[in-house]
Amino acid sequence: MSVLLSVAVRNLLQSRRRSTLLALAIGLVTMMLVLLLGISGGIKANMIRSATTISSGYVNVAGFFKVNTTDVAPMVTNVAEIRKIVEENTDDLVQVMDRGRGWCKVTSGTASVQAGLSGVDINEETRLLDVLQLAPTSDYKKEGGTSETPGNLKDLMKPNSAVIFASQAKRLGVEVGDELTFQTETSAGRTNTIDVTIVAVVRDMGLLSSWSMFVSKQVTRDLYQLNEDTSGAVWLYLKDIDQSEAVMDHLREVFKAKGYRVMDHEAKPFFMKFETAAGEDWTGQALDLTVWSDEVSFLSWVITAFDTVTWFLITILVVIIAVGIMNAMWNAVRERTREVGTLRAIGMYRTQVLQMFLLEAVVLGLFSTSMGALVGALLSLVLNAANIRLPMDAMKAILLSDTLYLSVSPASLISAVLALTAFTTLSALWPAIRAASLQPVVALSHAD
Amino acid sequence: MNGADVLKLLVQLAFRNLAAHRVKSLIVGALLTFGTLLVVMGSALLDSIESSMQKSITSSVAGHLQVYSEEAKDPLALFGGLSFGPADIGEINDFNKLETALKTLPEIEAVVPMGLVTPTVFGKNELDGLLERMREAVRAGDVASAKTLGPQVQAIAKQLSDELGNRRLLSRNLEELDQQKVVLDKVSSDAFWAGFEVDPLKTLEFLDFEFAPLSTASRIFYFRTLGTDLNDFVKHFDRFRIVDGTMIPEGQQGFLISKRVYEEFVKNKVARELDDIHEQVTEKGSTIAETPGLKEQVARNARQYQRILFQLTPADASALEGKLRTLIPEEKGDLAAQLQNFLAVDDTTLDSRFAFFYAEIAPHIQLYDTPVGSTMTLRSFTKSGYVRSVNVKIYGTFQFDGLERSDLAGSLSMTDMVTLRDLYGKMSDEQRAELKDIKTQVGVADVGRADAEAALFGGSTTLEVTEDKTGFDEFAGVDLAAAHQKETGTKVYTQAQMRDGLALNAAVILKDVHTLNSTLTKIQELSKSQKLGMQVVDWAQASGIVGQFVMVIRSVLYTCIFIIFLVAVVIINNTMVMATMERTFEIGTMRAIGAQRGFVMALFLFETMLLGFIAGGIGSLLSVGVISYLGHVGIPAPADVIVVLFAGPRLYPTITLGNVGFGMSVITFISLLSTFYPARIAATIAPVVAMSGKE
Repeated sequence: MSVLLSVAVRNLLQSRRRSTLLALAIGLVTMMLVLLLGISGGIKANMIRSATTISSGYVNVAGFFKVNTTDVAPMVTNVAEIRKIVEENTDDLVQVMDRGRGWCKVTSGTASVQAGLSGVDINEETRLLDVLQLAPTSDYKKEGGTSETPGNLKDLMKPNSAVIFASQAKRLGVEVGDELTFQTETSAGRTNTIDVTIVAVVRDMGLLSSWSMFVSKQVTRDLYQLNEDTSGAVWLYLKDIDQSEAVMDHLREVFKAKGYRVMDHEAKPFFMKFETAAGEDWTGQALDLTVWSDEVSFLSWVITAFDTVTWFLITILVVIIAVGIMNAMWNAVRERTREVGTLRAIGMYRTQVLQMFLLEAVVLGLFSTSMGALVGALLSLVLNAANIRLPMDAMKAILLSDTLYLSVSPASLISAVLALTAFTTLSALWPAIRAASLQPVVALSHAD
Repeated sequence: MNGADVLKLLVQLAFRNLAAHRVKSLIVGALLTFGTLLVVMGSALLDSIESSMQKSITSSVAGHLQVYSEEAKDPLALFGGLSFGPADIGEINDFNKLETALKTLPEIEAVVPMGLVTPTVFGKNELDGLLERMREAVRAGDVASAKTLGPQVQAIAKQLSDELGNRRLLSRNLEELDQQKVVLDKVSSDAFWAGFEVDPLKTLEFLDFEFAPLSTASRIFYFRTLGTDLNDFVKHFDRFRIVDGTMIPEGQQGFLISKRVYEEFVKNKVARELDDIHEQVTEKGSTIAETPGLKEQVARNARQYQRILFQLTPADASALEGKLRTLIPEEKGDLAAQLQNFLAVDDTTLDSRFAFFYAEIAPHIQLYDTPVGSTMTLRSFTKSGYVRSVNVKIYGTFQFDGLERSDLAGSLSMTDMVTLRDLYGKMSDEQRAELKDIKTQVGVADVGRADAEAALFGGSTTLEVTEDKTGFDEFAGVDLAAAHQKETGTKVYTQAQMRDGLALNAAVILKDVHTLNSTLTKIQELSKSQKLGMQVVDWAQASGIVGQFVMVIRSVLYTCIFIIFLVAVVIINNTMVMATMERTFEIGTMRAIGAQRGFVMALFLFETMLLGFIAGGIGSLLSVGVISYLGHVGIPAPADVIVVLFAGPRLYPTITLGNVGFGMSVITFISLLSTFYPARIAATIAPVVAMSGKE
């Protein structure tokens, strides 16, 4: 085998020009694949990050409360008991908390936006403190913005406080310390208003952050005149996000067994379930258990679309590469017909000839894909470090972030290298079989 | 040898070589053909999408260009941007002045004033309807028939009283709930209704002010509304068509609901779901038995029976019960059970029950929450957060032909300029004068701020967390409703009154679409020289995120093509290098018998260029074939969102000479680029080396 290997390497080195060009092409494709997988991974990572910060825990025990059959509020009562049940029945639980929910018009006096409120108890929200980053004033002030980052997330402890995202601050023309007015309209035609103070402005987190704000839990309670035991949803964080589905399924059974009314699982965010809930004829509380991906399922088309483009592109590229390799291998087989004849005449087996040629493709493939993957990985590191701002809104919407972010995992590197090496070898198979099937006598008499 | 001879020789040699090195020619040729196919088809499809999108956007609401204030904080996004809430696009204070200035440009055919607002409308609930009928009866002196509606009101009160138990679980304000219970118990009691004849007006007053505000369940609609000069609008936007009802009479205030919004959101939910189920079965050929989603939809719809049941008067209910008894004799339960059974349609009963629904049930329920012909109250927030409300009559529904199914184009409703200004919260001089009159009449000093809020927001029972608002505008302390009642109704405006004054943006229609870019520049210059303070954007930018969408697809496609060519160039290069190496002997011989380096190089370049032409030709022909086939049958829009991009349910792509020309030049460039290196290698082959050895 080691002889075959050294023969393969020798042959590759001998036809250096050809090998270099092929290696370049294969490396280029591998690099592309790594970058595209990196962007796709980046979108997923951004999605998980913003989803599990803004709109969901890993698993949610949310639900709807209906005063009558048609009047639906996305709220849960008995929060204390629900939290207790969750804590007692979940393995590998890192944290449980509950958030108030609200949807209101936010006015600054000069401009207004529509926003979904998350009512938080900042003492519980250690995760939020980690993920949210204070924005420099240059991100949102029209004039005189600096790299200073005023504000303090912990001030959400204070009553009537709010934390908003930089793009909202810019739109509303406000900064830390300014006041905002929240207004909600209830179905009975009432308008409830409340004034809050901005305690911090944080950096944008893509699409979801354009309509989300954080307020102290008391704000959402005041807006809807709710009691202490009522909230929007109970959120669970687990050690492993991949366990979410299993935990949700388990908890659903637990809550059913405890006599709670539990809605059928529907992979949609809560705000798309109002009509379903309104149509059913129960009243009172029904729980709705979801995992994080359900709450952002309306964004999954982005990943699907991107992955489709990636597959389309890589398939075309692989076909082109295969054509190139096949052609090069044909050439090699033709050039070395005599050599093959000699080797066969002195007793080399057909399978060994086959191995010799395939090994050449494997060595070429492995070398160039590894190089390509390495360059791709380095390039993504450079791109991430450069912190490139995305120029278009549509791009921000698609990539779910305001900066370009590539997430390259070792697993994706290895699979790119292995898959493309396999393809390289496969495309060399036919010429190699042809070489192996040469009759020694015929091969020897071949004059090229 | 002269030039012509050299050229002839080159052509002959090139053909010979292509034929001699068949494998190489095939591989390179196939790659180039594929490349051409990709470029030509891709660009043709994109161009078709862009032009159909241009058609749908320019002919529905945008016009060719849009003009709006330079002071805008947000970009204009007619079909919506990324953020919720109203965009601040500044104001055009004097539309007349702008129009006069723009009309000096000969390219411009028309300028249409516009503005976007998103008022909210509360759908009426059953109680509102009942109380209205009672009031009418009492007003007509028919107290007895008014009283016959009493039991229905009583039943609603009982139901509300039951709901209080549920409310207690959520609310922190239990005292208030106790107060409500007193009112509800009173209305539920027979004693209350026994005294109805004694003073029906006082009873009604109690019901209106104390009881009605406690009923909840009414739907909220958000109508994204485009205000414009409708008479002018219909002249320039030919896709606009009235579907139900009539156009708003000239010079009057009114409202037109988009047909899609009307059917999707305003219609009774059970009826809409039934429509949807019926459509899926009749148009898409699905069956209820075999389509899982559809089966669930039917089951869900059956559970919604209350939406019909609660709307029936006792007389209608018993009549319907009889009819359902004959239709479904096996169902022995009450009307609720019958309705559920009725709605649980299957493939055999769907058609007959669909017909039965529209013949026997629909006429007795309120099929639309805000039906055509009725008057509704639009409420909107002004910039300072102040609430404005306007009563308008719904004259009809409309659609943009070809875009009926589009969520984007179908989401806009329309109104006149006067209503737009009312909702936007900008007063005309006339209104200001009128307001001054009212102020003197009412005696503003006597009305405190709190009372004004109560008058405006509908009574003392609001659960308001009233905070002292800054920036309270000039309406404070005035009975605005009275001012508006006086004004809306039947007042007729002249076209000038409608058009002149405030607008938020203006659509510019061109005589010839090809002058789009030059006119855009001219308008910019005009705005600068005449200090109009306006900015101008083309239809794609004006449409908002939809316009950017095509740019994104285009950049994705071009990036893909670039990457594919990059790899293809390397592979072609490699193939050519190998082919060159094989021909070392031949080239050496040519050089030895006097061929110059330049000739060898030219030979190689010419060879691939020829190959490029042939491959490009085949690729282009294939593309033309495919595109014309697609242009014949059409590409169906995969989703309703795509309908705007396709300007209809199907895209009929076309291919132009430009697409082919573009593809051919790209392919020629690529073939030259990839041959350059092998050609140089060939040109550097020294005669002696070539003759002495094989490689």
